[in-house]
Amino acid sequence: MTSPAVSILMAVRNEERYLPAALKSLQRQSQSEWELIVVDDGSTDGTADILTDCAGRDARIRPLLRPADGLVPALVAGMKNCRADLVARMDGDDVCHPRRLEKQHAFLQRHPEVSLVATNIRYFPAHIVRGGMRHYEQWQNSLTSHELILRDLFVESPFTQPSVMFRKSAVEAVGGYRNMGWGEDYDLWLRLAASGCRFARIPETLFFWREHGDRLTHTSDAFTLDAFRRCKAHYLKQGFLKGCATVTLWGVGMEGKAWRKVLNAVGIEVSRWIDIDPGKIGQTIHRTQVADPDSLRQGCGPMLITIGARGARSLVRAKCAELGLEEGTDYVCVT
Amino acid sequence: MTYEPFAIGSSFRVVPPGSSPVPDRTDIVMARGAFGSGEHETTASCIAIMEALDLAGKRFLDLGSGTAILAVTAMKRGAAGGVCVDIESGAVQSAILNCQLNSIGDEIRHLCGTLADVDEGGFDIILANIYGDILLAVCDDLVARIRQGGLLLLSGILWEYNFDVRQKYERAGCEVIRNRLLDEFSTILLKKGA
Repeated sequence: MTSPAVSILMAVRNEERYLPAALKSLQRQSQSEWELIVVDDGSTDGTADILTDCAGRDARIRPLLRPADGLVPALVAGMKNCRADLVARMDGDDVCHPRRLEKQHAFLQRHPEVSLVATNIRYFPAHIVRGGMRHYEQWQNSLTSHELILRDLFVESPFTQPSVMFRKSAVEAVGGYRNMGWGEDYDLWLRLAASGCRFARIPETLFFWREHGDRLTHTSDAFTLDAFRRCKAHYLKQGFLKGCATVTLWGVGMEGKAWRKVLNAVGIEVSRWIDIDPGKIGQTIHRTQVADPDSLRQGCGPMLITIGARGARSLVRAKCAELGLEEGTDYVCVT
Repeated sequence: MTYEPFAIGSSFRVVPPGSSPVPDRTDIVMARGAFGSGEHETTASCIAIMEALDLAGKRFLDLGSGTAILAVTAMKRGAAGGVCVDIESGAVQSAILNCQLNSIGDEIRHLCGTLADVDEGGFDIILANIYGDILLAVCDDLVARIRQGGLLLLSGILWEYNFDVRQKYERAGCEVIRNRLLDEFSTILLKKGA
């Protein structure tokens, strides 16, 4: 049996409400040479029936019905059954543009140096998507090149997982999906980046992310802010902060203090705070002095930008450039 | 402000005031407006579908009428008249002007408001070229305004809302007759109580 052009990997649990829309959007794909490996993770509603019924009418849909075991085991089991070299992730509550698979497949065929290609995304329904999610959508869609993606890699997860298509071999080479107590998707992107994989984004809106209260990102402990920080700290310690016992944090607000705790937990102490607030400069916080940004010098040790205020990142980058600091060498933005 | 006439559908042409007619196209005279001037893919899609419908003597509701291009098209196709409603007063003024340019008078009633401000029902066809999330919100009221066997031509539906809109209107007692998927939007033709 020949492999399809694309394997679509989906894991679902109790998705009867939105799954038909997701499946329909796949069946409308202009690239029809796909298989859908959809792992049902112990659904107790009509999800399994929907999958079985659809599979009976469309041989491309290949359900794996399993007892509830969690998202990561479901994805691991699903990946093993993906026959194509290219794997597109998809979720059971989202919708794809009909040319999504065609465009991603063609892109990866034309660019063998790229391991993962995302697309622009749009969250819906518009009236319930809050400001923060719109900001995240705009930020993600602004990461239009590998270099921009890497520059902001530790700010937030740069991809909406069900919108990506990747080379199965690249993901297998870094160990596939793992359960680390934080988002399995962000964990995978950081490992791919650390291994030197190249990323890309097709600057067209080909994926529609459905917002609703039951999303795993709203309900699972793996997607809390603290879990994200722990994930980032874990990989920073293997990369930018490798071998470092101390670090400078720019930003003494709630975010900075939360980062101090997370860094301490991985054995890294904050040796200096930087802040622009004149009320904080000169203070001692957690036995460490707060200094003015103008005190920064090239080569004075690694720094993380931990300012929580929206819009601050571009101002900090401009200041650092003025001071001769190089992003990725002297500092990394983690907010 | 003038613009170049352009074809829309297989039998119509959108033209600025003062244009000379051509033999193979029916002119829809439009002062330059926004959205509904016909260049948007959803307007063109609606008009293409309307060309295949029997609208002779029918009464319509145009929800989110904008420039009233769909209402004017309906009249050119023999409709008896109807109601145009839009939430923006500028759009309503534009609709009134465009109806005058196409020699349409009292046959069409113009309202500035929402569906809730429309005090009639029993329409033969509803034209609604508005966003999918709005169509979802007004589904029950909209279906209630149409007679049994009447048609609903819904457009302006972004891709991601297409399935949800179809499903909701089917559950409200309508049958999907056509579902046209365009580059970014979609157009759905439904029949009530089929």
